[in-house]
Amino acid sequence: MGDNMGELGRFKKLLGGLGKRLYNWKETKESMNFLSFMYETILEEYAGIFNGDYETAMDTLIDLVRPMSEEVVSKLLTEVKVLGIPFKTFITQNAGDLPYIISTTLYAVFGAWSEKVFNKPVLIPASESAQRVDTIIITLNMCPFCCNTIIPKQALGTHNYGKLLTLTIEQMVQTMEDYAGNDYMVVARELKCFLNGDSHGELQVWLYPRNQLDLMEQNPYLKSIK
Amino acid sequence: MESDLKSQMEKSISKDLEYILNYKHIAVEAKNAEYFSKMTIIKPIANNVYPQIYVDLIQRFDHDEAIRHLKSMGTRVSKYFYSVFPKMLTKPQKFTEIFSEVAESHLNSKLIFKDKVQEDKKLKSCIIEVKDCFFCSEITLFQNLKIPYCIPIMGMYENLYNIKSVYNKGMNPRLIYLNALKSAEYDGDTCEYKLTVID
Repeated sequence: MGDNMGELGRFKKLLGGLGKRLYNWKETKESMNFLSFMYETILEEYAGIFNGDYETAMDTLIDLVRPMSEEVVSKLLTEVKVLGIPFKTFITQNAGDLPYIISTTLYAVFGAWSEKVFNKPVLIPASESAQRVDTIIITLNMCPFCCNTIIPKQALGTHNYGKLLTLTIEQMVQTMEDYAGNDYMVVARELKCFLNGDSHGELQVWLYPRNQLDLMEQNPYLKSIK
Repeated sequence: MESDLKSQMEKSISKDLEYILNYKHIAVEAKNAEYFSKMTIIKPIANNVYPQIYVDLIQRFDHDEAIRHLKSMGTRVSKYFYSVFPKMLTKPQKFTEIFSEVAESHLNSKLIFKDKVQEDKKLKSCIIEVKDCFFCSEITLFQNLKIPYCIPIMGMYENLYNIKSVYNKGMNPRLIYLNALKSAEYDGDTCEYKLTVID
C-alpha cells in the first residue's frame, strides 16, 4: 500500500465529517428498496423490448442514464454547500485524498448505511498497481442492488449487475479529478459481484493519465467487463 | 371491454403470484432486500435514472404502447415488494392502508382518497391524490406532458391492491383499475389517479 496520506488536514476532515452528516440529514431521501426495484423493473422492461436480451437492455439503460447522471453527480460535488462551505473545497489534486473524499461522498448519498455497505476505499499507487496507474479499490460487504434480483449473471453477458453504481462512482471520481485539474481519464469496473457467487463486491477505479491511455490496452478487465 | 380487461388482469396477477410464491434471490451473500428496508438514498441520485427512461419510451412507442410499458414497470415493482416482504401479502390492512403504507414508508408520499362513489355501500370509484409523488415532486418536469409522468407509480398501486386481493380471496373490491388523470407540474402540486372498481 502506498504511503500517500493526502494533503487534507485533520480540521478539514472534521468539517467534512460534519458536513456529510448534515447534508444527508437535510436532503430528501427515498427508500433504497424502491430504487433497486425500479432498477430491476427497468432492466426487465428493456430486456422484454429487446426479445429477452439483458445485455442490450443494460447497454441501453447505461447509454440513457450516463449524460444525466454526469450532470447530477457534477452538481452534487461542485455546487453543494454545507454550513456555507462548498463540498468542492475538499477536493485536492492529491490522489492520497481520494479515499477520504469518496467515502465522504458515499456517506452524503447513502447516510450511515454507506459505512455498513462499503469498506473504506483503498488507494493503490501506480507503482504498486497491476494496471500501472493509480487505482482505488472499493469493496462491498453487502449489496442493496443485486440483493433482490433473480436475473442470472449469465443473462447480463459482459455486464455486471452493479453497472449503475459503478458508473456513478466513475463519474464522481472523474468530476473530482476534472475539478482538481488533473488530466486523468477515470475508468471503473465491477470486478467482484455477489451475483457471481463472490463473497464480497469489489469495484476498481483506475486513473489513466490522458497521455498514457495506451495503458488501457493492457487492462484485461476492460476487455472482459463492460 | 371490461371483461377483457378483467381476464387480462387475472392472468397477469396469477403469474405474479406464482413469481412471489416461488421467489428465491440468487445473490445470497449480498443479504436480502428486507435487510435494506431502512436504507435510504438521497433523491437527486435516486431520481436520475427515470427521466431518461420516460423520454425514451415515449419516443420509442406510440401513446398507448408507451403507457403500457410505463405501467408494466410499476406493476412489476409491486410483485417485487410482495416477494421481498411476503408478510405484506397476509397482513390485515384496511383498503386505504394497502396503498398508504407503501407510499409513506418507501416513497415519502402521502395519499388522499377523495370523491368516493358508492353503490349499496360498496365502493365504485374514487380519486387518489398523491402529495410529494416520488417521481414528480422536486424535479423540473418536461413541458406539455401528454403522458402522465408517474404512470409506473400508478401501476404499482393498482397491482399492489390486486395481488393482495386475489391472494387473500373475499376482499371487496376484488379488482381495481387505476388511470392517471394528472402528474404534478410544480412543487406543492399533486398527482391524481382515478380508481375504478372492476370486480
